[in-house]
Amino acid sequence: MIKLSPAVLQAVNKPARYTGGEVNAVHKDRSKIACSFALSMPDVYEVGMSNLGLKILYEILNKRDDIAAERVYTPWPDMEAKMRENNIPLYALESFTELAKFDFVGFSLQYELIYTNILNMLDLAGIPLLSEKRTNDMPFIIGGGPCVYNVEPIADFFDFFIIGEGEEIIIEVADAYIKWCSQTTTHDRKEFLQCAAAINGIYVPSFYREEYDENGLFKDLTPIYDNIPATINKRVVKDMDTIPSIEKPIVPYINIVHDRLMLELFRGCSRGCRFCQAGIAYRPVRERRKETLRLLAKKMIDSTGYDEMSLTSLSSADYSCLPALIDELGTDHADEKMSFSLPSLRIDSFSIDIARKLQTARKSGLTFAPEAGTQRLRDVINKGVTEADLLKACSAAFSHGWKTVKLYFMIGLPTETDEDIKGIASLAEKVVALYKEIKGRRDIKVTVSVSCFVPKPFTPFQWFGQNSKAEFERKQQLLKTHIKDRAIQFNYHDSSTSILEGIISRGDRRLSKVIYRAYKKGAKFDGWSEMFNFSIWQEAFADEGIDTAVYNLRTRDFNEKLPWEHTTPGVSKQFLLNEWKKALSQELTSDCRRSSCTGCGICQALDAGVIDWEEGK
Amino acid sequence: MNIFRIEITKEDPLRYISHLDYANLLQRAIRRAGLPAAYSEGFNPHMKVSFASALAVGVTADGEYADIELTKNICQPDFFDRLKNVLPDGMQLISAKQIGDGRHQSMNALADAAFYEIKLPDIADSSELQIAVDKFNTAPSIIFMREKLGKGAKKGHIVKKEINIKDFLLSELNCDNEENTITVTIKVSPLGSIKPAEMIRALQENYLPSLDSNSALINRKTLSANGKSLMEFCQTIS
Repeated sequence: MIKLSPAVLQAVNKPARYTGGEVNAVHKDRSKIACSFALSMPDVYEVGMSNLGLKILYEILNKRDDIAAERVYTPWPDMEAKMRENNIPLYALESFTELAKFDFVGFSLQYELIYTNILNMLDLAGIPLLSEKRTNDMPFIIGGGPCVYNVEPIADFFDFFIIGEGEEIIIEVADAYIKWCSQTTTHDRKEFLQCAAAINGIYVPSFYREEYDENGLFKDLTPIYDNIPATINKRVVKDMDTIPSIEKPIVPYINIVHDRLMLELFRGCSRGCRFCQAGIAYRPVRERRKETLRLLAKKMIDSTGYDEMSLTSLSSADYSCLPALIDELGTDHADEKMSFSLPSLRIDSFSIDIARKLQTARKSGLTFAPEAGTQRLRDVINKGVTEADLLKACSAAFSHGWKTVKLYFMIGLPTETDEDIKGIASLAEKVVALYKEIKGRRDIKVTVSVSCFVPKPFTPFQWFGQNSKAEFERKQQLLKTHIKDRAIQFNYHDSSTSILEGIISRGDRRLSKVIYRAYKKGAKFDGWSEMFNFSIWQEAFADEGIDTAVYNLRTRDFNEKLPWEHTTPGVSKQFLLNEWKKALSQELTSDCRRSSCTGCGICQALDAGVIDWEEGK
Repeated sequence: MNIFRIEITKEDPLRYISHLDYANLLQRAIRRAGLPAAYSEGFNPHMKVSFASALAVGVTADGEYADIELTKNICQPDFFDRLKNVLPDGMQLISAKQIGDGRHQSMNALADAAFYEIKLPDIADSSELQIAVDKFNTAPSIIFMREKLGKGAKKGHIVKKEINIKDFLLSELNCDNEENTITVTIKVSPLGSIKPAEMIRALQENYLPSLDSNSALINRKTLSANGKSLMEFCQTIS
């Protein structure tokens, strides 16, 4: 057990990040535990504590008397320095047990720029970074979350990965471990990895060998044992109403990024935006019943005392019973001054009505994501939103008193021309003009936020060559010169993080060495702009002789075997290819949720189906 | 209008949280307890809870004081038990008292003195501490340079201000060589005060260079108004 001295805690910023003990944290007698997990999001406490997936797994695991799940986050560099100076190994926040003494350390892989933090945390824990170097007394390092649809760049660091939704499989892993412990005579980790690999949805990277062709391009990845599957489909929870969920979330002592309750209305989104990986990764859409949600909401509110709840989903406004749910939640908690919010709005007047219902008290700004500046390009990405939709939604919002609108766009999408970039500026201007027309005043603020598009695996754009840094910068400047109205605020970011994300997200196993080298050169918290240092990464790529353009800038051949195909959300490659072709001809694909099947193949591959509680269904 | 004044602790598990976070913690506990808390009117309703003073990060207290306004009348034992059962580790309810429904002077304006006990880390030579404390006590003034991160126009800069520690002390430093502790009473006023940590830093900088001031554990034993505990001092404004 680690003891932290006051001298350490008083010397760091926000010491409560490191001291645990929060309301609803679960403390167990470790001597009575058969299997222990340290769950981590490799980012600072305030970010990690806001992660929904880990909250779910924490409760599911801790429901079992013989399993303990604890939490660990990345120490901020001030604390890291103190820990290294005083030889304090990384520990988990519940029992202050060293990470190295856990059976499993699970990392939530939310985005590529936190990979170096994982290495840093393993190092702080005294756990060898490479899985092959770990001895039998070491924990198994496992990964899960959205990045599992291409884990090859970090394959060397992990013992295994969980592909897809974790609620059921995490218990299967724990049970397999408990059983193995009671039977094994060798305690050889490879023996357990064989047991794990037998579980549907587990990928053990060391059981596969990769091959490259004579030009150095990825050729294939094949299992080295006969009993190991060549491809691993994601796991999905078929019924969101019966699966256990969050009832007693931890209430942090300090303000965290999402300092409110999260009620997950449904999983999945089938609108079919062609740039969106989550849209494929979380299919099919599975709603919870309104009654289940009311019960979960009550349990969470009663057990925490929070006064804010976010109704989360990929596209919450699509929940079939949303207006009724909001009314009933309002009635259920009328005396408690609860405020409910939606994380994102659809671009239509229905959403404005919902926003009005929710914001009886506070009137914060509205956020819409048209994603592209022209109708042509919005059709390419299958956004399914027209300029008329946006103006209608804004018009409804303005007449109800809103005067702050945030618009999200991407640049660098396939087929984009300068006209599409200028279209972003003119769309924003139209919103400003609309406000003046309706209100006769000029006190509107429109924020245009533009990010750089990163093509992702398992999307119709997975073959597309990303824009270069120079091209992103040119487009940013072009847009800047076209935004003239002072009511419009233009936000953009340095494109180098998107470039790095672009390289890693479609990378292969050879990038493990680069990530390792970048970490050794001091890269950490790469997702934090003030900490990100692109030149470290450029050196690391050069040192390892990696031509990054092959990964991000190159347009891939449709016949190429892609390095990520073996850990799949279940989508058919033919569907993605058809979608790419439809994108080029600006043809739309409808939402399968309330119309006919569009043939993505996921329901069939996973033996799951859409669950939608819309009246009459 | 029903107001309860409570005395609660801020113990070791909560040592490193800020005053704002501590206040949040209490408010969430009040909600978990299902107490009929009163809220402010307007677009952004706030629970009507007011504190006597703001404790710094790193400081514990044997007694923190808060006034909680309720919309319904409930009896003291019921209030006490419901709140006590939901408080987090490190926050214990010592006492609760209904202070009527008249208008009260805010506790913040009432409190005028805070009595601290500071446990110092081991010092090789304990007589060294006594000598330093004696020098501190006899000095006519102790100047300390307060450094703060600037706000507003001065953001990004460190703002320095010279303060005389002695202006804020209501007692001498008393030191217990056996226990390695210092006790002192510090003036609390709406016009400003000093943090006990600043006083310890001043002691270290001027007279006790070997002291690791970051390792000092500061506890506020009492907060008082006119020599009386705030629990007794419920002055009604007529």
